[in-house]
Amino acid sequence: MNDLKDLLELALSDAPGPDERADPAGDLARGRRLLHRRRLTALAGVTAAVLCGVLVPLTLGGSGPSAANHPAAAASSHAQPSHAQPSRPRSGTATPDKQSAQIKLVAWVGTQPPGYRVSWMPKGWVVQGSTPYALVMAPPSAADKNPDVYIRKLVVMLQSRDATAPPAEWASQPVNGRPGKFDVQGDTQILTFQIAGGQWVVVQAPVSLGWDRAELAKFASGVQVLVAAQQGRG
Amino acid sequence: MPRSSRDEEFSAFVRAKRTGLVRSACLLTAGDTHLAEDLVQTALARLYVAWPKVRRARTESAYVWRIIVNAHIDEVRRPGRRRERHVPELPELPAPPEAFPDGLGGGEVRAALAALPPGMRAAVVLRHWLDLSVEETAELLNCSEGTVKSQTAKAAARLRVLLSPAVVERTHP
Repeated sequence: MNDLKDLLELALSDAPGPDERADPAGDLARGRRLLHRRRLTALAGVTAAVLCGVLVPLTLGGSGPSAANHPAAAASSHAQPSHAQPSRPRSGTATPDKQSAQIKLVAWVGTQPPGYRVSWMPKGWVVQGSTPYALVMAPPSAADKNPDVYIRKLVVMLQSRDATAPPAEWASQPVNGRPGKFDVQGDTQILTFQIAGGQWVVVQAPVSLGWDRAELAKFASGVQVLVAAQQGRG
Repeated sequence: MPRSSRDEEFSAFVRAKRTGLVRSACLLTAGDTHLAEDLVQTALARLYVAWPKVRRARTESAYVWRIIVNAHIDEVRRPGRRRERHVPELPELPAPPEAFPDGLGGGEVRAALAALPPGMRAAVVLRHWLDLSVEETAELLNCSEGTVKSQTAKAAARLRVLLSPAVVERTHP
């Protein structure tokens, strides 16, 4: 047998096949639900934008664009945690409310993991596992104690030997002046960045940490990869 | 576009294409029919949302396939799926034979497909199962045409090795 097409046909020959009756009702219902959700989300976004446009100036004394110079506005912008936006200029604009739920980065304490030097870790979190393949951190109360499961955990690893560069459509997020790409997939944020020597390092963080791209990049900027670190496969 | 018109056109597309989509997605998932069904459901729901635009451009199939391929790659990259893959080296394999052996079973072929990286598997399925051109495959996979050519060539060589009698006997005694 020489032909790949024959081989693929063979792969399906004794596989359980799909239901031959393609009833569109289920797909139609799912499509309508998704469309409805998208429209609601868009409507909520527009409503929030309109409310912000109306309510924020009123809250700040109705001074409109000049409110940034108002003492109350200035005070509110400085009330944010000092670590929240280290790389962004503070221009007097308020930082998002979600920062209040953010888990702070604190200096790494304790023995460094094999393969990596890490400067920062989330406050109150612990190292759940560290091997030359991956460093895994989680809150002490994490339900899943298996360090091989990365869901809702902070993970540092070298990019798989079989993976290519991160997709071009991911957002650019340089780390230490080198190329980096950022994406959010479900409840996981992924920052893949290049280090000296051209290797890519992957940092996965749960959205529940409350970090934005800049905070994730700050964590990543403190990661050094040592020779003991090894790439996985797949 | 009125909803009834969207619904009618979308339903006709689903009736005509769904079975083939799931079947082809089964190759991407190396025989995992449940995951294939999930991927197709996801793609069709998103197609419904984008229907007026996609229909105007007459790119329904390409749109669905782009979603299926990307959703599959996202799925296998999900953090929880990374376990079991951390091995320092692949086992040493013999040189690829000239052709695929005769008398193989579907299970053996699916296991060999599962051993390919997802991007490589997608290149094979799009090129050799859906008969897309190198250019179309490259566009769908968001990579260069050279990458498509090298990925399909490497995939064929790896499949020949993985399906050689010695390896098949070792892994499917």
